[in-house]
Amino acid sequence: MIGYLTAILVVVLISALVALALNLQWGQAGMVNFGIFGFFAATSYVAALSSLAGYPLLISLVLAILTGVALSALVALVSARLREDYFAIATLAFAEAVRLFLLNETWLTGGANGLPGIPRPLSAYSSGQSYELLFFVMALVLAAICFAFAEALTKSPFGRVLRALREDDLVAATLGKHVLSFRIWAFSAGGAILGVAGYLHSSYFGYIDPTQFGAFVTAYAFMAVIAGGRGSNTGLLFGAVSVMVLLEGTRFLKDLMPFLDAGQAASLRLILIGAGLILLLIYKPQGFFREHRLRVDKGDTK
Amino acid sequence: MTEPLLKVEKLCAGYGSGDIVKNAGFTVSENGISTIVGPNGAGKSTLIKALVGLLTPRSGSIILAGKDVSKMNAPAKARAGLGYVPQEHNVFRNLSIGENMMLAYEFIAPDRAGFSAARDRVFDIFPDLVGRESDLAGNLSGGQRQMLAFGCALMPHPSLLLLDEPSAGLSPKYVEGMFAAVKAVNDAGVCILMIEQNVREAMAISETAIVLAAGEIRAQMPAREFMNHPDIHALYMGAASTRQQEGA
Amino acid sequence: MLQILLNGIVSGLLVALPAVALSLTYGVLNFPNFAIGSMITFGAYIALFFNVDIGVSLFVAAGLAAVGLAAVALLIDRLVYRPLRGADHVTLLVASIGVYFVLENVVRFLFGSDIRGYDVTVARPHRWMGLRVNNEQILIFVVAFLAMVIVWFILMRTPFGRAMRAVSDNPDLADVRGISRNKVIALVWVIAAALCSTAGVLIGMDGIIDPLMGWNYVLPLFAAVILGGIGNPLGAVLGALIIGIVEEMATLVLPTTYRQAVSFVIIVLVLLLRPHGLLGKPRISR
Repeated sequence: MIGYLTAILVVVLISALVALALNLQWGQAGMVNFGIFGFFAATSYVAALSSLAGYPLLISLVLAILTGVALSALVALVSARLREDYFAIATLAFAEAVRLFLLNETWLTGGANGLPGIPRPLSAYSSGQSYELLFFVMALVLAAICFAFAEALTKSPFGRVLRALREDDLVAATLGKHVLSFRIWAFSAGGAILGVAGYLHSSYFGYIDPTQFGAFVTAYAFMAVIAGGRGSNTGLLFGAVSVMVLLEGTRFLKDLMPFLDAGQAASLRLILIGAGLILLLIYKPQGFFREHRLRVDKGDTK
Repeated sequence: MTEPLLKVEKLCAGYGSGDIVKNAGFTVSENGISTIVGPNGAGKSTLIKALVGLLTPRSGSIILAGKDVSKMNAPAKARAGLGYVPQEHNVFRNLSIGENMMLAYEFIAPDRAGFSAARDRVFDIFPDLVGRESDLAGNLSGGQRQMLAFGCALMPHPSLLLLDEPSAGLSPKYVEGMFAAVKAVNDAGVCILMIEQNVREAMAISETAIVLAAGEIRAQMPAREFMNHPDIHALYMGAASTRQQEGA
Repeated sequence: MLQILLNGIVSGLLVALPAVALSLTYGVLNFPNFAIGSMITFGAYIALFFNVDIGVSLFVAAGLAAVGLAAVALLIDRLVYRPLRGADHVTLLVASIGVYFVLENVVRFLFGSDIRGYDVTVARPHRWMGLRVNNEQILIFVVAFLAMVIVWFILMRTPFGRAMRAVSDNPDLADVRGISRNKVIALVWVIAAALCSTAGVLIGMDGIIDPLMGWNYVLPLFAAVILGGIGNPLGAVLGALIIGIVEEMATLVLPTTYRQAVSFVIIVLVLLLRPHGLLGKPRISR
């Protein structure tokens, strides 16, 4: 039971990190990263490859983070000026390009077969169920650091500028803010968090392949961010946890409806994800939590 | 006196929490030109949007030719005989002049056959448009575009035409022409209700002045009386609210 | 070389059908519809159902698929997009990702994830002046060409086509002109559905049918629409032909598995260099 619980919690933490990255990029900076699964895939593969090459935890982690930052900075540099919908298309195109690379450069990535046998970190210190717990604690610490990092960014002057840019480029630009560089930094900060998420993902599962990184990762992340209230990091935690609990809960669909085969149960889950996302947009577009900025403003909007 | 063409009663409309137009009431009688004047921020644009149906009124009623159109959306109001020339973005820029004129007609007027007669009538008033049907509307100058917008609104023979600041953004050369066109359209039998900032020029062709300030109708009176009013300033600024009901 | 050009034009025409659909919905509803790929897939599977499971001819099945997909598209508009009318375009495009999930997985749920094919006999390719042409290619050429002509006629020569262009140009003014936006939107969905399902059937005849078939076209579609200028359906056709030809040419120097990367490169280049599309003239915005 503890094993199952920690497994779920680790999965929740990883997806919370992906959502946290999206919350910085989209929630704070207004950059609609539809290709978030591509960045996540790239950092996961780098983490996996460096772990397989025998590098220790810290080095693999740092490499994954650097990959996230570098790719994000590159993509942002090229496309940060674009309108929201173009940006979404451009990032999605990038992610698809990453997927093509992973599928076809078999010598490096194993292609469709993926990379098995990724060494698990800290396995020298523990094993069995206590190892699961140890991994969970490590993931929790890393996630807490990321969360603190995101929260600090949000509350800093940098965060304020980002939100100003999100609301109105022109106004912020006339204030003399360098729109482009702020955007690139914000997007890269998200990329760093995706690096941590990628590291945890590949080292926890010990096996990665391209099918783990599809558009559904984007859908999860958007659901979590919207449910938590765009821009709010605390709300996001709630959003990520509730979305993942919901999704994990749908795994039991198969038990409820034994006449479904495994494929049907899996597709039913994804149908529910899509429907959930749509319902959220229609009925709770502001999320269940409000961004703290809105709370502050509330007194004088009337 | 017969039933007025347009009767607005206790109209409230706005965005967000507050009402911008509050309890507005006025009438527009058949024939003639009525002009709504008022200082910036008086709520003129909001009032006209509510009349046209681009903004749903919160309460109150709008009766056009004896028919309650208060709750209708913009397309339905257009079909009920309300023409409208917005101040900006008033032509389809990526469509040709001919297509603009056709679109202005075909979804409102019931009979196909009347199209060419309607077009000829518009060409009579705006001869500049003749022979340019295949030009892209977006390539017209500001003044020509305004003429096209005006002509389009006339195409389906509206019973009442609303103009949102027809002279705004026009060079002085065109302003005079614009008001002459408004007068010509009215002479052709179309009742007009407009919003205008150029009060003096507008009043020269108007029969009725309707004063809107701070979202309320302060007065409705004959244009001549308005121009000779000893206290226009006070009307504008609201000190004359005691006269509110007069002439209504 | 001529062979490559021919293959490129044919695969470009295949992209052009849904690219026109994407461009129309983009213009009139003002958001990029990421569910366009799953509409292709869904259409292909409706035809598969009628062709293989019921046993009608593929031609009839394709017609039924167009009708069926149109009904599905109208239902989705009613349930999803209409409640969100007036929302910002990010909300709409996120919603379209939700729609994509639902559609693609309804297909998986009902038909499974295996590769399927239509019940048609494959004829030997013709040889003509040294060119290899198969029946599917001729069919794609004829059908796509006819579809383009019909769409062009509707758009440029009928009141509803004008209304569509009017709504995509200036929705508020279209309201004032007595044009009912919901009717125009419904018509756009019907046309888009017909184009997507036709493309789905043609793609299925030429290749394979699986739940991912439409998703694989999403990048080329967006590349074509961006290349042609957003909201410009005729530009999208041109964009699609260019994508088709460049993809074919790229196979000379790149492994065929990287075909789709062409779309990625084109998207990046166009967005960087000519965000208004290849036809240059920026659409006159309001």
